[in-house]
Amino acid sequence: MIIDTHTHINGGIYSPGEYLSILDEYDVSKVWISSVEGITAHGKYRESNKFLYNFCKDHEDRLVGFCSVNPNCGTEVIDELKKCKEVYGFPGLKLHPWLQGFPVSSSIMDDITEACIRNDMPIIFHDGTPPYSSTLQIAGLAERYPEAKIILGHSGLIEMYDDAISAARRLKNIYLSVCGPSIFQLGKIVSSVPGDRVMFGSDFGFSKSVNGLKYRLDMWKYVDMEDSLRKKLFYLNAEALMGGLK
Amino acid sequence: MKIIDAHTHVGKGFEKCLEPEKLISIMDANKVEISVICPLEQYIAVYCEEGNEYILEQTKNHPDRFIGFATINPWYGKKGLEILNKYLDLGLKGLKLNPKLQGFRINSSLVKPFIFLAQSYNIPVYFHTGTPMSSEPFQLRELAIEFPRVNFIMGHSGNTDFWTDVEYSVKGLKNIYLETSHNLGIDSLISFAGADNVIFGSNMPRSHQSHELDKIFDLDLSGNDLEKICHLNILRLIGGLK
Repeated sequence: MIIDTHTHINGGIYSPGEYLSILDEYDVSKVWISSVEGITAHGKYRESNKFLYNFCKDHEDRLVGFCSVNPNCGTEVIDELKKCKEVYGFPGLKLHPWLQGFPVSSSIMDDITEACIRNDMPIIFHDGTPPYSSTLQIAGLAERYPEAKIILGHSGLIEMYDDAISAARRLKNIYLSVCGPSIFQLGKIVSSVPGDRVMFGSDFGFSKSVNGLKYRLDMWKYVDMEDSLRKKLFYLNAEALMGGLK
Repeated sequence: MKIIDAHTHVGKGFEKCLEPEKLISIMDANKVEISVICPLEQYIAVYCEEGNEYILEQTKNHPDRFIGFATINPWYGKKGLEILNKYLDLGLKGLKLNPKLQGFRINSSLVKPFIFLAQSYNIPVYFHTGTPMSSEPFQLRELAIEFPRVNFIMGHSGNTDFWTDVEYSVKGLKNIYLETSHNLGIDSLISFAGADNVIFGSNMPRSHQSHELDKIFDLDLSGNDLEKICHLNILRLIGGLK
């Protein structure tokens, strides 16, 4: 069983049926999915959330939607967050400070994080990219809000993976979607951080020409790890994080 | 088909380690005939002479399996030029630079005497790219325009976050070659630079050779393009095999 905690849908590049059949091909039973337009088409996050809702709605057992809002729009996004949780049933929020163009230390992030704590929504962040998505900038938010559940969506990518290790070791509310570091670095991550906070991610669905799912699944064949840890990484931890939500 | 892996590292690094014999057994398993080997980590950053000596020794131990690239930290200045001169005379076939580890910007004046030296030996220059501020595709473009007779290899082709820059950073230039390690958009790299300017590299031991090869073979490339990417282009850059 595999849960992929980092996937996207980019406009209409796949129908839900096509998306699911690709997941079937790689034995992926469930994905946490966000809309690329939700993090790029800045003023249109409401439309993107609605699109994502329609994309997932008949397949909620497999397509778990993560909404997005644009923090640059100010406190109006707080209502949308509530709607996403209560009306659309999205369990979490996806933010991409680099592409959305906001610093994680801006004051609107206080409002958003507090709202996510109230709504019991984990936040998955793009990380690993200066100057707005450096891994420790995002960990800083987790440190200020220990009740928030903060997922580093890339575990630092190639350049900042050791910052992700530091963050996950020091802060109990940091979860890693291990998606982007190299094979050598994957090994270091899983041998260095608590085993109950690592989760598989692929970044699948950003573009049709790039099959990150196969590439990122295959990487784990080269990483030595206990079977029990492998199960945690591939589905148990993701299930536990979702199951722990109200 | 002949396969040459245009970018690997061997030795005992600060973090990573790959024994040359281990690399050869991996090459055998993957039907890779030759790997270009470079020093690792501290031997790139500070102990460049020892690193080059080690690489030279490995190419002598396994002349049919390894081609060696030298490195030098450009902060060594005049002494660095002497070191590089020595190892190119002794038979290393290219220059590998890593601005992130070595502490300079790709297009800084510090590195230019070394590029002149590479030009006089007609060897390719491999740059790590993908790290902001020091190792960006557009910085390599500046250098490639200034040194039109030098062939540059853009390591990892700007992976991870410079994917939107690669196309414009090579536009109109024939002396930048896009190396494939870690990068997922190989189709795009070919469309930006043409198959004549894309080179397979694995970046062992940070990635794995068979994993990086699978990614190339998963693409539906023509036999001709595969030959170029997997050995012809790198062979042309190093002036063929002796």
